[in-house]
This record gives sequence, structure tokens and C-alpha cells, in this order.
Amino acid sequence: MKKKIYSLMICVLAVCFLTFNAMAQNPAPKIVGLCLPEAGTDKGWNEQAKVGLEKTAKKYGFKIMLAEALGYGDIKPTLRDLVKKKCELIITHASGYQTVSPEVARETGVKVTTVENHKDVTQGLISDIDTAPGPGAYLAGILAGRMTRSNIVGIVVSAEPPTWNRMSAAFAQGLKSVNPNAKLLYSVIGEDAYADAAGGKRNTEDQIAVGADVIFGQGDGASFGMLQACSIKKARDGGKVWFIDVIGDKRSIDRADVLLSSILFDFSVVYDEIIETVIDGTFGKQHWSSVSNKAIYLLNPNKAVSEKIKKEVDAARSKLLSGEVKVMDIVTAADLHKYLGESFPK
Amino acid sequence: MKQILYDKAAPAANSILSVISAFVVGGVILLFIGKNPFTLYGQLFLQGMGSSLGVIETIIKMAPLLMVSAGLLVAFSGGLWNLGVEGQFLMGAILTGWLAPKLVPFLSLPVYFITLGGIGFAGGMIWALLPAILKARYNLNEIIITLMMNYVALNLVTWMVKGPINDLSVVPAQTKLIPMTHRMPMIPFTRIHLGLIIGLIVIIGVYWIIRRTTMGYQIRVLFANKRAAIHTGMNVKRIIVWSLLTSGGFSGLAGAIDVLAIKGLFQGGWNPMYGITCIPLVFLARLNGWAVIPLSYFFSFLVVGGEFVARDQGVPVFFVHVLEGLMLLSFAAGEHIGKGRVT
Amino acid sequence: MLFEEALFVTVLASTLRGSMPMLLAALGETYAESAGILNLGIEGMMVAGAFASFLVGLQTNMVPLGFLGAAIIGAVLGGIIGFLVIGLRLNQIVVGLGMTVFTSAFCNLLHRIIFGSQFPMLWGAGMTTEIPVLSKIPIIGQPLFNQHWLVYVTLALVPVLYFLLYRTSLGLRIRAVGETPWAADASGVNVYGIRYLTIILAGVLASTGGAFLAIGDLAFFIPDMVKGRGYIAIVVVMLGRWNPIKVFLGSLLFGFALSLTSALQVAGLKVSPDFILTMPYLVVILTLIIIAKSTSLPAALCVPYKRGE
Repeated sequence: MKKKIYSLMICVLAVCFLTFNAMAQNPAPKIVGLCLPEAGTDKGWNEQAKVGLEKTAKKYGFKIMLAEALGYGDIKPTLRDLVKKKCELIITHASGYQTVSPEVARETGVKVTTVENHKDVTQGLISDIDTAPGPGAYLAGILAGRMTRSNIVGIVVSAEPPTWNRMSAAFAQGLKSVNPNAKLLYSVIGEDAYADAAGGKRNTEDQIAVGADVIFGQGDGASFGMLQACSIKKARDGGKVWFIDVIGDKRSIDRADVLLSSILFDFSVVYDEIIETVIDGTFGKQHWSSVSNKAIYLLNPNKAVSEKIKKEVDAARSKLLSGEVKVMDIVTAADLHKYLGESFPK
Repeated sequence: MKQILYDKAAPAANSILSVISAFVVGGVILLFIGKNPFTLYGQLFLQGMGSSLGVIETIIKMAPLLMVSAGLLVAFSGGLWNLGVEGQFLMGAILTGWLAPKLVPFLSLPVYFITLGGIGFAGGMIWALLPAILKARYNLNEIIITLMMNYVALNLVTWMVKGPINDLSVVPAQTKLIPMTHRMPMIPFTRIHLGLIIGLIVIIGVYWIIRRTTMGYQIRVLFANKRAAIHTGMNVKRIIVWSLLTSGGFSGLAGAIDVLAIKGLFQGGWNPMYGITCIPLVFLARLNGWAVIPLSYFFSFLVVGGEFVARDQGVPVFFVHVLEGLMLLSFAAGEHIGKGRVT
Repeated sequence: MLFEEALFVTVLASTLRGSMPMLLAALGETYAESAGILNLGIEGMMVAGAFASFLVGLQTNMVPLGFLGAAIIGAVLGGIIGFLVIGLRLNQIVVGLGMTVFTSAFCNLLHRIIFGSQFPMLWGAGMTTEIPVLSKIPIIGQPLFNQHWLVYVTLALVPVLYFLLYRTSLGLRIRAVGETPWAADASGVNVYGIRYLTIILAGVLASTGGAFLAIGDLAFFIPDMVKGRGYIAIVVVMLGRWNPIKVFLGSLLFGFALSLTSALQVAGLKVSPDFILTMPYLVVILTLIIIAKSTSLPAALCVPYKRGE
């Protein structure tokens, strides 16, 4: 009998120990590396990542090693240096890095987080962040459809990466949902013309000239040129040309008060998620920046937007979150052109 | 004997002097932004030249520079301004990235690498064909055409990679990934890929051909005096066409090897712009293939080590390029001082 | 739709405005190359001009002072390049590209240190000046006669610079220095002086071109905004064969093709944007083939001059 009690006790202890062990938390990483293709002050994709990670760093108390303006070429030296300098997690914030960084992760065993790279996600080693900005852009499209007076809306992009194709398509879908008779213009400034502000201004002015009075601009640095064009040009009816921005918040420089709204990216949400997975030992997941986890949200619309329209946008948001309305996920430029051509025949 | 020693030592001494003077000017800028230049430079050498990581990565970075420089050497030796290396590089790279995964199942490894090298070379040559023909036949300015062809290439490859050759199973615009088994092999016992050896062979080989063979002699005559070249009965047009084609070919080869060794695929938005680095290097080397090697080592070291330390020291990474520009200027000046002494 | 009046008017206006940075830089480069200096520092000079104009304009809150600041920086950079390639007779290609790398990176560095992640706008920049009667002409009135004041100045500069280079003895001397410096020297021309003059002029004009981009067309500075316009300027100079009038036409052609890239997309042309975007570069190549003039560079281009050599 005694033996049985002993063995039972041992069993219970062992179980306790095991559960305790499983629940034991790993510490948050002390140093996290962040690789950016462009300068961390580009008022766009790169800056938002830097700002987001800084926010997360404050929360979890780790140090950031920032490697910026790396270009899209060979970042192996930088990755290896970050490994050497004891980064426990490296976030490579460009889809262009998605072949090199998993290779370095497998070679060195250091955790990496890639972007738009679903297939390499590996338990304990590689996690990935993809962006689902569609719902945000869909809401912006509703806003645009309601605010346009001329029924002509324009999209200006400085390149055609997946994130922007997704937003352009969803914007078009949102626009069509409330304003099926609207006309949609679409202009590309150039190949990787993220900094071509003069080109941004030129394309926006052309769209305004043919009657557009709401412009949805995706451009990083080029967005400043678009904002300027909307600020100084009058729409055909003599009224304002509204500008819908992405990623950053430009309210501080919007002196002409033409900023209708902005689709903001808050990467700290997914970075928090990732650090949590490091802590609970489940690192190696597919993470999404999306409207449902509030990593993507619409900046409070301009005060000129009526309560009625705001309510309509809110209603649409609930429908999106409940799954009642689905946003299409169009990733490639070719599919986007096809979709725009079909939905808005010229 | 003393004279010979002096001749050999003078360029080295001048280079060191140039490096120091560029560091001094850069140091003033560092002081101006409130950073300690001695720590930064000390770390630069420690991490860039004193650590295995720095040395290895620097050497890896040299491979494309050597190949592109070899191409430039051919063109510049003949007085032909091939400023289109970026476009030629991209064409070589995209053809390799597109075709390599298709060839994987069919070819044995050696044949596969040779075929892809040939494809990359051909890609660069195709992109140099129009400027070459227009130059040879109508004597149209190759500076204009090669520069414009860079932009056309960028548009073309972006269109291709966003559309027809896009691997639709992944999110970004890129070609299919080349399996690890079919990447560029490494030099035994290192993680430096064979591209370095190819680059060294190419640059020395090209230099040898230009200096030691009839063909090379003809290219050089073309540079010195075109009219004389025609009078001596040389087929000037053919030399122009082949020099520019070869020049483009080596840039294309650099693209192929970068895809096979570094990237593993071709990606939209990837444009490493080796031309702007290599063009001044080739002139600094005074069209001497041997001199290109230490120069490209040094500038690779600057970029690799500079990025490491700028990050450590909290200096904006742009400072690396400030230093690079200063180095170019001071190397040019050092050459002048050397010229003044020897002659 | 392309022929819709409103779009046509914008295209005309943006052609003129968009070609200005290239045109200004190219006019200066025309002089430098005519005198035998290939100035590859032009891209860096434009970046420096753009940054300096913005900085000065923002600090003083006076836009014209921004242009003055850019011109001064341009003159200084021209003087430095002049000293290196004329005084020290260094390799022009290395110096030019070296200066471009240095100045662009230095401006980025300064921008980061001064502004961090702030991108203030210089409100009041980018304003147009309407010419009273002429701007009322239907259709072409607004695009041609409601432009930034620098556009008018530059347009007036084109014939002046042409006249100076091809109809005056100074112009004759400049071209002589670019063709046969030793002969020019023998006949009493100050070769060094002429070359310094032209490279400084090239610096002033290139930086002003950069300034036009930053605070004439736009109202802010962002790194990399010049984006190769300096190299386009060099191409335009060669396309125009060192003749300011033809250089002007070349810039206009490029500017027009650039404007069309956006107008054609807005007009709904059913072609992939990538192909539309290629047009300006194809237009340059085609123009060169059509005019089919073989180019002989100025004989002494890129060749340093040393008295008695």
C-alpha cells in the first residue's frame, strides 16, 4: 500500500513538474535586429516598422539593432553580423529578403521573421508577417465613393508591390459597393518610384484634370507630391480634392486640410504577437497585419465627413469583421489590372 | 634597383596617403555630428579587416564587381563608353532566374552551370547589341543609348517578373526559387562561392588579352586613334561590335552568378547598380586589371565594414557613402601626386 | 480622352515644368562639355541644390533666398570640381562620380541629422506667376503663361546662352578650349580661366535645376528625389550636340514623353503601365536614330590640359 502511495505521489510530482515546465516562460529576447531596405525615416513602410518595433521594444524591454537602407540585394553580411552581435530575433522587413533570411536562420539557428513568405514558416525558427490591408482599403473606398462629387476617383501608386496591389483592389471593391457608377482612374508613377515626388505630383494633377476629386495615393516619399497636388489644385467644380493616404499620418503637414483619411499600419501589434510567441515557446507562426487585430486601421476621417457616412463606414467595418462581406485578395499587378478593367469598364 | 623599388612602393604609399586623407575629412564630418572618429575607424578596421566575418563577406562582395569591371575594361580600353552595365546585369540575372529552375531536372550539374553562365552572358550581350550596332554602323553616341537601355531594361524586367514569369505560388513578384542543390558551389572548405575565382580569372584573362594579343592590340589602337586603325586595314566595325558585346556579356555573367550564388531567384525591385561603383574603379586602376583587384577589395571592405560599424556607433548609414565618395576623390588625387613624382 | 482639353492643358504645363530641372542642368553642362569638361558630378550638384534651397528657404521662410542658396552651393561645388579636374588635372570621371556619391550621401546625412523623421513642407513654394494678358489666351494661355517665375527666366536664358556660345568671341574661345586647348592657349586664350568659368556656371545651373525640383515644382526635400535627372541631363546635352537651342528641344521632348506616361494612363490606354513608362527612354533612342547624326565629342573632352605638354 505504502509503495502505491509513494508511486502515486511520484507520478503526481512528475506531472506537476512537467506541466510547470511546459508553462515556464522563456524570457523575451534582449536584442532584436531589424533590416530595412530603405531609410527608416521614409514616412512609409520602413519608418512604420521602425516605429512599431520601438513601441514593442519599450513594452518588452529589448534593444533594437537597426540596419537600414540596405537595398534589395545581398543582405547576408548584415544578417551574419546581427547574428554575431547576439540578436536573438531578426526581423527582415522586405519581401525581397525572403530567400536569404530563412537560409541564414537555418544555418545559424537564430530566429527570423520574414515578410510575405508563407512557405518557409518553421516551428521555433522562422515566422512570417503578411499584410491584409484589404479591409482597410475597402473602407477607404467606401469613404471615397461617398465623398466624390464628380463620381471620378483616382488611385496613384509609386510601384506595384503586393501590399499596394491588395489595397488598390480592395479600394476599388469598396468604391463599387457604394457607388457603382463611379469611374476609377489608376496611374503608376514608375518602377520603384517610391521617392519620385515630382512624378507623384504630375500623375495626381493629370487625374484631377480629368475630373477626379478623391485621390487614393500609395507612394512613401512620392506621397508628398500627391498631397501637394491635392492641396494646390481645385477640383472641376471648384471644390476640394480629397486625398487618402496610406501607412503614415500626415495630418501635421496637411495645411490645406485635404487629407480625408489614411490607412494606418501599426506594426507593433504583430511585433507584440511575435514576442509573445517567443516567450511562450510557440515561435514560428504565420502572423497577419489586419483590421481584425487593429494592426491596420482607418485614421479618423476628416471633420468634413458627415456622421451618416461615418456610420456607414462603421457598419461596413462590422460586416467585414463578422465575415458577412469578404474582401478579395488580389496580389499581382496583372490580376489587379484585369480586375480594374472588368469592374470599371472605360 | 632603388628606382624599381621606388616605382613599386610609390603607388602603395600614395594609396595609403589617399586613404588617410579621406579618413581625415570624414573624421571632421563625424566630429561635426558628434561622433568619435577614432572609435569608428578603429572598429571599421577591426570588424571589416580583423574579423573573419568581415573578411569573408568582403571577399564575397568582390565577385560581381570583378566581373562587371572586366566588362568595362574591354569597352573602356577601346574608348567605348559602355554605361549600360546595370541593364546588362539585369538581363543576365533575369534570364538566369527564369530559366535555371526549368533546367534543373534536365541537366547534370556541370552542364547546368555552364549553360546558365552562357545564358547570363548572352543576356548581357543581347542588351549591348543595339548600342554596338548603332555605334559601329552609324557612329551613334553609345553613351546615350547604353544609359537609356538601363531604364528600358528596368521596365522590361519589372514587367516580366510582375507578369509572365512571376511565380504565382508566392506573394511577391519573383521567379521560382532555385533549389539549394543547384546553387553556385563553394570554394572547398570556405563559404565563399566560386564566383570569386571566376571573377579573378575573368579580370586577369581580359587584361591579358587586351595587353598581350593582337585582338587586344587592335582594341587599344581603336582607343588611341580610330583613323589610324582604319588605315591599317583593321575591321574597326567588327572590333567595336565585339568589344561592346563582350563588355555586356561579362555584366550579364555577373548577374547570372549573383542569382545563382546570392539571391537564388530574380526579384522585382532588385537592382544593385554595380556600374556606379565599378566605373570609377576601372578608371582609378588606369585600365589595369591587376589594380582593379585591390581596389574592389577596398571598396567592398568599406561598404561591408562601414555598414557594420555605422550601425554599432549610431551613425546614419549614409556616412558609409560619404566616405566612399571621399575615397574616390582622394584616390584620384593620390594618383595625381604619384604622377607628379614619377615623371 | 487624351485630347480632352483639360488633360491637354495639364500635359502642356507639366511638360514645361517637368523638363525644367533637366534643362537647367543640361544648359550648364553644355558649356562645361563645350570647354572640354565632362561633369558627372551634375547629379550630386542637383541633389545639393535641392537640399540647400529647401534648407535656406525653410530657415529664412523666403523662397527666392532658397534659389540663391542653391546657386551659391552650386558655384562652390563647381569650383571644387574645377580645382580637382582643372587645377590638379585629375580624372574627370572618377572626380565626377566621386562628387556625386559624396554630395548625395552628405545631403542625406544632413537631412537625417537636421530633420530626423520630420518632413516639413515649405508652404509658399511651388507657386506660379501669371503673366497678365497672355495667360488669358484660350487653351495654351494657362499652361504656358502661368508657370513658376524660374520657368520664364530659364526660357529666356536659352537664346542668350546660345548667342553667347555661338555668336560671341567668348563662345568661340570656350569652344576652342574644348577642341584644341593648346592652340587656344597659343593664341592667347586663358584655358584654365575659361574652364573654371564654365564648370562654375554648370554648377550654378545644375543646382538651380535641383532647387527648381525641390522648391519650384514641389515644396519639400526628400532623399533620392532627383533620381537620375542629372544623368538624363547629360544625355540631353549629347542629344542636342552642345547647342543650347537643341538641348532645349531635347529636354522638352523628354519632358513631354514623361508627361505622356501619366497622361496616357489617365486616358485609359490599355497597355501595361510598364511599357508606357518605358516611352521617354525609347523616345530618346529613336530620336537619336532618326536624326542619325554621328556624334563627335568635343576633341578635348575629358582631357586635362597642362601648359607645355
